[in-house]
Amino acid sequence: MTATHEGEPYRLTDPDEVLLRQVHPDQVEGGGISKVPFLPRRGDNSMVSTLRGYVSPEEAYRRHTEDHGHESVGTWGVAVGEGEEHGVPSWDDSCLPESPADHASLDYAQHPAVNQRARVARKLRDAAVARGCLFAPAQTTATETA
Amino acid sequence: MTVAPLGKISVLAFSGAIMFATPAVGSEPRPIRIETRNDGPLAAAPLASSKATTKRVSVTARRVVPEAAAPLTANAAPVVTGASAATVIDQRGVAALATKLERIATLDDGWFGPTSRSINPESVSLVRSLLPTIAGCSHKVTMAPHEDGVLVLEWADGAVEYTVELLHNGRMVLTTDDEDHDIYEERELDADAFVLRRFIEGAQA
Repeated sequence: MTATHEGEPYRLTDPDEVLLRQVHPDQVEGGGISKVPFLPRRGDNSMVSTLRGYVSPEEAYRRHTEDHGHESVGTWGVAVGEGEEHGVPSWDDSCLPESPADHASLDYAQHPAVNQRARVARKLRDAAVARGCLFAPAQTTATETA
Repeated sequence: MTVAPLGKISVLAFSGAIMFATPAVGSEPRPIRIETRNDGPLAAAPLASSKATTKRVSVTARRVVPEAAAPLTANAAPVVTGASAATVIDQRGVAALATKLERIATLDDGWFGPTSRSINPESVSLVRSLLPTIAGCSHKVTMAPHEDGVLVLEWADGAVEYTVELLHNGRMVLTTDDEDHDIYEERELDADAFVLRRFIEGAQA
């Protein structure tokens, strides 16, 4: 695994580490998850925000909802290796001032074309759905949302 | 997952009757023509008159054998209304979409993180005006907000994925993506209900 990198973001190398992504209730419809949660922002900051895999999915959900006050239907996961397979490396960038603790980003910079980003977002969405919901609050089961 | 090289393609997007030649490895190129149901080639006249940017996309891509994706469940059976059987409006679908749209409209800046943006009210109004068209689409159209303040509509017809992105700046991006043949079209233009309706209707022709 990665070592200390003295305040600089560093690339994650364990392909089996599952990064944790929250999904907003309005990004789920009819039992399916949109590709939107896995679609990076337009422009230069082409990242998708996640938490590191050593954080539990339940804790990731709790931080997102309780600490930051955002909505989520649950925690899904994308492995570092799944991102690499599609040209999306992952970075631990929790050292950055704007990043919360244990933050990691899926980096779409290798895909400047919009269509490639959309295709990769679909692939990562499909991988996350195939893995299943890693944590959902009691009223929402994984099978209902995935 | 099986990955095989496809090669380089060149796509001229939105040029009336849209024809592509794809040098796919191991298969004959298959021209594709996309038309609206009643009015001829996709967005030929109205798009030409808009402030649009047409992109030529050159992509070196890999073919990825499709894997199991989460199926998007269909709405309840549509209700046929009016004198014409061709006028199909899913009333329950309209109501469900309207409920979701109004919920999305309430998202404030910061709704999903410190830099996430609210959805442009004009985008909401535009989609609101098209809810019967969206609900009547023969394919399940899903709607979702993106952190960039973008309202996204998406649906699939077989291997072809359709996406509408209503941007925060009043523009919209219409895309079709046929991954099996590595054919991609994209056009960005001013958000316009007429053009968007034709795009949605054309996709189900």
